[in-house]
Amino acid sequence: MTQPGTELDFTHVGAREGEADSIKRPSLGYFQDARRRFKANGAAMAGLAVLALLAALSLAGPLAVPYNHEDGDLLIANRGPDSEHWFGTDDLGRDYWARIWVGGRVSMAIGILAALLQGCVGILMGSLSGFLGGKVDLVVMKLVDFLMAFPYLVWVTLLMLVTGAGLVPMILALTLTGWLTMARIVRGQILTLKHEDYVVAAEAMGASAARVILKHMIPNTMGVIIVNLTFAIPAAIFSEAFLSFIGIGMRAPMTSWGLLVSMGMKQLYSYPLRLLIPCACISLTMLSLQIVGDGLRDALDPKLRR
Amino acid sequence: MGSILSVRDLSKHFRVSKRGLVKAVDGVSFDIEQGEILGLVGESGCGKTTLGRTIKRIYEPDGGRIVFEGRDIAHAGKDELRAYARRAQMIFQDPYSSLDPRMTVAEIVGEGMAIHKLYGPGRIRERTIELLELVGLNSEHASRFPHEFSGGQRQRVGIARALALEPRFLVCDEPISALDVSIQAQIVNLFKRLRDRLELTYLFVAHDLAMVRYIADRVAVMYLGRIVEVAGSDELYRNPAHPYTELLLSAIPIPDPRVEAGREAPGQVPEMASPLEPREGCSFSGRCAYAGEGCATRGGELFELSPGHYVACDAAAKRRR
Amino acid sequence: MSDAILEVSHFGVSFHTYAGEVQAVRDVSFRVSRGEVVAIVGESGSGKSVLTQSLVRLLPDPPARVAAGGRVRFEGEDISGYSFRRLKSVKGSRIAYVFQDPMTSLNPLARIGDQVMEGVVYHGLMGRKRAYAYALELLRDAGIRDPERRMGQYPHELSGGMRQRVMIAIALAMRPALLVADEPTTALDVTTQAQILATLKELNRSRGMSIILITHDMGIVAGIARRVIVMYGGKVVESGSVEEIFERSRHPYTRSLLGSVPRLDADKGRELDFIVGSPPDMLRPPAGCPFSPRCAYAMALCAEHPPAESPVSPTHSSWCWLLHPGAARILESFARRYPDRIGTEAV
Repeated sequence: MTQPGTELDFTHVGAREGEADSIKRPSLGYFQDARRRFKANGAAMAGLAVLALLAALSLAGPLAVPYNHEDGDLLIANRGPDSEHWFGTDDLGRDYWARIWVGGRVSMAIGILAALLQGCVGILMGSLSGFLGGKVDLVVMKLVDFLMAFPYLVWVTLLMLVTGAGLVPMILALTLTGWLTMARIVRGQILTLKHEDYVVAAEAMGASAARVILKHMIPNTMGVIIVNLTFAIPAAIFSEAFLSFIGIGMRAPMTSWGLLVSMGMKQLYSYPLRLLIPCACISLTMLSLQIVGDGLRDALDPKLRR
Repeated sequence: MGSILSVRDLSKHFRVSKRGLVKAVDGVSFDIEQGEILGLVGESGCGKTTLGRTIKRIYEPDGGRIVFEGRDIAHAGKDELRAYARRAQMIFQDPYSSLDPRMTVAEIVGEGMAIHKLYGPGRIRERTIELLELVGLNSEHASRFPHEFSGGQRQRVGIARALALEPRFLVCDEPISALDVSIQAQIVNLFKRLRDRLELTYLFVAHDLAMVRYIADRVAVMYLGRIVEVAGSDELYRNPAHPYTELLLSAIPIPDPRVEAGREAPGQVPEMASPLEPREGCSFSGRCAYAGEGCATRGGELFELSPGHYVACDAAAKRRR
Repeated sequence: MSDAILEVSHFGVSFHTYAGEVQAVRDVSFRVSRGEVVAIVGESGSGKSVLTQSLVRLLPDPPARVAAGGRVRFEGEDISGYSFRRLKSVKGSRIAYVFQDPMTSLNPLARIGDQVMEGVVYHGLMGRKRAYAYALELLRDAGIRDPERRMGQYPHELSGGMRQRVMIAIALAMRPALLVADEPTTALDVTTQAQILATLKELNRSRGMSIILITHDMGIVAGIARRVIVMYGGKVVESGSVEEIFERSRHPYTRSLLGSVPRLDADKGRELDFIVGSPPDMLRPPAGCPFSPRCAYAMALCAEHPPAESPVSPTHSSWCWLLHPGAARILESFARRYPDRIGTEAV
């Protein structure tokens, strides 16, 4: 093991207390570790790439052509794709490329906004329900059970028949009906966390309920919340598409993918592209979001750490 | 020198579905003197953890009194409880779940001071470093997260957190059970040093009798929700009076092969009774090697066998002679 | 010298993680004789569990990987090269395992009787009727007093101690030559622990079954083991008979470990020894002796060069530079300064 010629130094050194206790590994926070794991997931990264592409096209696409999505020139109506109109024109002579990407902006924006609002309501209801327990929990959960028993879109449609059609009523309706899953998930987490020693410790030190929930419980629920949001967005996009499709969502002159699908349906046999393109956009967006959501869930799962 | 804590007939019950009541803590009474370390030992299910948590008002007591520094905490109002939350602190068993994984060590240690609005942020930061150094860590650890530390280091953080509010009394709930053996000695010595330096009082709950003997001034033994023996730590281990204490002591292995070779294993003892079964008289009578006729119906009250040595066994006095 | 039932030489196991390779076990050699009880003592990070589980490839590969160059001989056969399939004839039958937490080792949905009988029935050794009677016998050997009643019960109806006895019964079913018990009593009460250890002792005596007991409790070691292997940071740092280790240990870690354990029968005033620092990070283990950062006697070379085996007696070896002739001067000065502290006798 040691060569005879090697100088072996027997001077006394003693315990290196500082080194014995020091932390050698670089600090790797929870999200940094999650990011690393996410990056390693090929499918998730591909999904993210597709999403980024669609988002970029929605934002910048219409700017790439000199036409806007509203003005139509009947003389050039119903053209197929060519060098000037990359997606052709619709029956009012509007540039389809511009329309599809403006529609994309609207659909994605609604999807994200609705999902965020649903998330806020869900987190609020779930936290209160889980933390307070007792009657509050009972009432809220029974409400959730009742609402969940019916198909979500039925609720939304019924609500919108009352509120009327349009952008704001639609977002309102989506928010009021879409918070259920988030509430249940957050409540479950809170119930588990209530018994964690560090929560008990905070309460034992005199922390108020608000402090415990906001500073201890919600941050430790973030992983689950993020994943749920990622799944809520495609659901909201689809809901918007559906509502616009059946006519109670977005109305002209605004445009969205749902509306475009609706209009494309009528011309399926003559100009099939006008159905296929918005459908493809909706499908790709939803698929990518779901793959990314799966990837996020795996990346954020604390049990798979290290 | 008075008692800093006086517990009288404390009870805590848990309802277990329709079948019945678990009397986790069943009429417990004892005192702790200022500056003392009282060890509380017993096997799993004896109620020692519940007792510790009830004293710290994490659980609501179902009966009895807890008199801390002259005030009855069991029936205290909100303000008194808040003051109590400062002067009495708790150390938890599991170093892996007692620290919020999303907070840095500095935030964890400083939280108490922030909750009670004791100082401004600058002074909180200073105090945090002082506390970390007091427990043997240093400022470079302040910005790190709990998962980067070993069990022993995390436990130190937990101690620093408890000390931040300058408490007089600490309930230590099995603070070393989850640590490696060589680290246990480190932390136990830290406890001792802190007690001397800061004039603290501890209720030290543990199941390792050898370690409790080392650190505690007096020791109380619990069985199925009741205290069966209390004595000075030397006295308890030299002259155990209660049959259960004897049983426990005989079962503890001694790290010396020659001594172990000369010992006999405790004979087959019936399993511990379920805490749900109703009991009158002495709760240990079903397993007791010395059980007499009256034991199942009568007895189980603590009485003073010799100065400072209390036992809940009627037969003990007779056996001593 | 009784024949060896297990001989392990230069065995190593590492784990492949994103952060690098964690060398959990490094260059470990030891042997277990027939009918012997050997205790492997170590704390977290010592590699004791990984070592014993890797002997029969219980750990999935990836991420665990047995290092090349290691050899394992069991009952005279070299099993290091065995395929996973071939090891099945050894695992569970010739070498049996009992783990710490019986609740996760037992199937909560199956009755006790079925679980005890499973092994023999699966290997086609006997029909169900005979297996039933055999299971009763096993449960009795494991110290359960009313086995008929227990056969029909489910795991959750039994106490922790009972469940662990069921695990022992299952382990005994195939009449193993070697039982590996990994912290079998850590999760149990002290009274139950004493009884289980007594049962293991009796099984060792009556069946001549060798036992490897993994533990961190020196009291348990003193009560049951004949030989002791002390591990730290993935390596063996000392091995010897139980008297040699407890009374004449020649390794600073072992001595500190013994000193940091409070004894019921010792004078209360004596301060507990403690070791500064924390168990090592196995991702970047020190190049030399793994204990050197925490060792009060550490010398300059300790961190650079791993110490070779220094035999103290035919049965007692220590891996420490203090036993090297070059350390004699240091030992003398220590002996003068701390006369009661360490065994400073030169080799």
